[in-house]
Amino acid sequence: MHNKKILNIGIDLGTSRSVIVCDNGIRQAIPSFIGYPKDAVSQKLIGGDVVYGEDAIKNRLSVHLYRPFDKGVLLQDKSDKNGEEHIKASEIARSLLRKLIAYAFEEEEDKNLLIRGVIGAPALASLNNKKDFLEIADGVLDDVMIASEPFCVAYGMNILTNALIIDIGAGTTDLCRMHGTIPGADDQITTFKAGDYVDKNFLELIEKKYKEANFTVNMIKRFKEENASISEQGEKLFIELPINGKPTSCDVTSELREACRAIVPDIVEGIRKLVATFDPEFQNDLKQNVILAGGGSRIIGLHKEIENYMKKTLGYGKVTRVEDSLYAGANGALMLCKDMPDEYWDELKTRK
Amino acid sequence: MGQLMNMIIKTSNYSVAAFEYAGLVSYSYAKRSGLALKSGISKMGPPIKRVTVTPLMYCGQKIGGIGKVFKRKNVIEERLLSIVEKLDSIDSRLANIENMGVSVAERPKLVKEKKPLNDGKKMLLKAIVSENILLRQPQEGMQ
Repeated sequence: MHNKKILNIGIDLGTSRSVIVCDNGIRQAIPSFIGYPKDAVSQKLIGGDVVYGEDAIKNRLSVHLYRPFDKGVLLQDKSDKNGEEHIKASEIARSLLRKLIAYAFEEEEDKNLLIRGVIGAPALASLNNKKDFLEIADGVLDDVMIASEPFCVAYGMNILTNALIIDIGAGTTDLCRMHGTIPGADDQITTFKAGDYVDKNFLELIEKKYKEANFTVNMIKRFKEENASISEQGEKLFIELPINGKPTSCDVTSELREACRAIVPDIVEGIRKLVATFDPEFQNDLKQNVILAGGGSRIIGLHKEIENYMKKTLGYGKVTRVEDSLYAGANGALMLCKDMPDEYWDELKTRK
Repeated sequence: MGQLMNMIIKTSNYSVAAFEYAGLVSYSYAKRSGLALKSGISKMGPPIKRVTVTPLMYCGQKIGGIGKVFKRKNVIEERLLSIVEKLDSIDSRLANIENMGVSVAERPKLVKEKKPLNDGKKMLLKAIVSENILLRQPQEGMQ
């Protein structure tokens, strides 16, 4: 048995943002980006060999910028699953995790702790994808478990039965039906139409409307995160984009609405499938408990749009949004980590 | 001679009467002015007293108060000294205890006890552990 003090951590290594929540009160979210200086000048400029999160994005012209995850899982070579790119992505992700864990230790006097973590993975991540998360945590965490991200959200909210969780991230949108047991493959649907898909659509629509405008996906991503809406009501949205070098105010109200709406059909179709294949006696309970989580849940009017669709196709629907959308998955993972009895952790160790 | 004597006696009598009258008039003036002075002073007295004597009395009181404050400060200093002495004696006792091989006990830490889980949750957690055990198994039999 261990005599060390235990630090429990809930971890969400997301495509766009990586989040940790610790039982010592620390919680931190950083963009999942890492930058390595291009040369000695940029190394001096950034003041080190590596730069993380917002700093990496800010200095993107002077660093090689990497994002280790794509569509919720670690980057992979198209031909070889364990190719060079995959190995590099694994190293970068481990470095990112180390950075996050360092935040957890910032206010800890005792540095000799036993670190336990639960990492959220996309609902239908393959066994290999989940193994990648274990590899990333190897040498960074003392004990680690992997759990489905939407399941973590449900566990954190203590809604373990008759609920449908929709976790809209950057890379994937996970739908998960909860019925009092660990959700299986039939209970979960993953679509790749999520935040990144909205960004891509938004970029194309602006390019089409303002052909001379000069902008990057990062510029419109931030604007989207602050203003995303599919509501018909609301004020006009203007973004300042350089046209021939001159900042020009561009009306992007309808473009942003259209881009955000692009993810709705897959979500509602997923809801329909999961409700229709559920036990008929409990279908009404499921329809009453649709919960939106993840960064995408902040799109204004999305829950109403889904409710309207559910009313049309399923007769009834009640959709609610989690309050702390960014941290909901990591919060649940932390609760899971804390609730896990010591003997279960030990059992896992003996099987290593 | 007889007439001269009468004239001298009459003259002296008149002189005495004149003196007596002058004395009475002077007395009368003196008495009147004295009364006037008395009534004036009796009217002026209280305001003058208020203006002059009361501040002096107040100053007197304050001077007495300052004295008290100085006295109190001395009391505080005495108390502080006694506390310092007590702390010194505790320090020396602790040093003595440590020299004798007895160490000071660490501050007790709050032990975070896990809340008891119901059977349903235990089953769920057990299922997650089983999944994770499966993840750790070698490549053989994987998806």
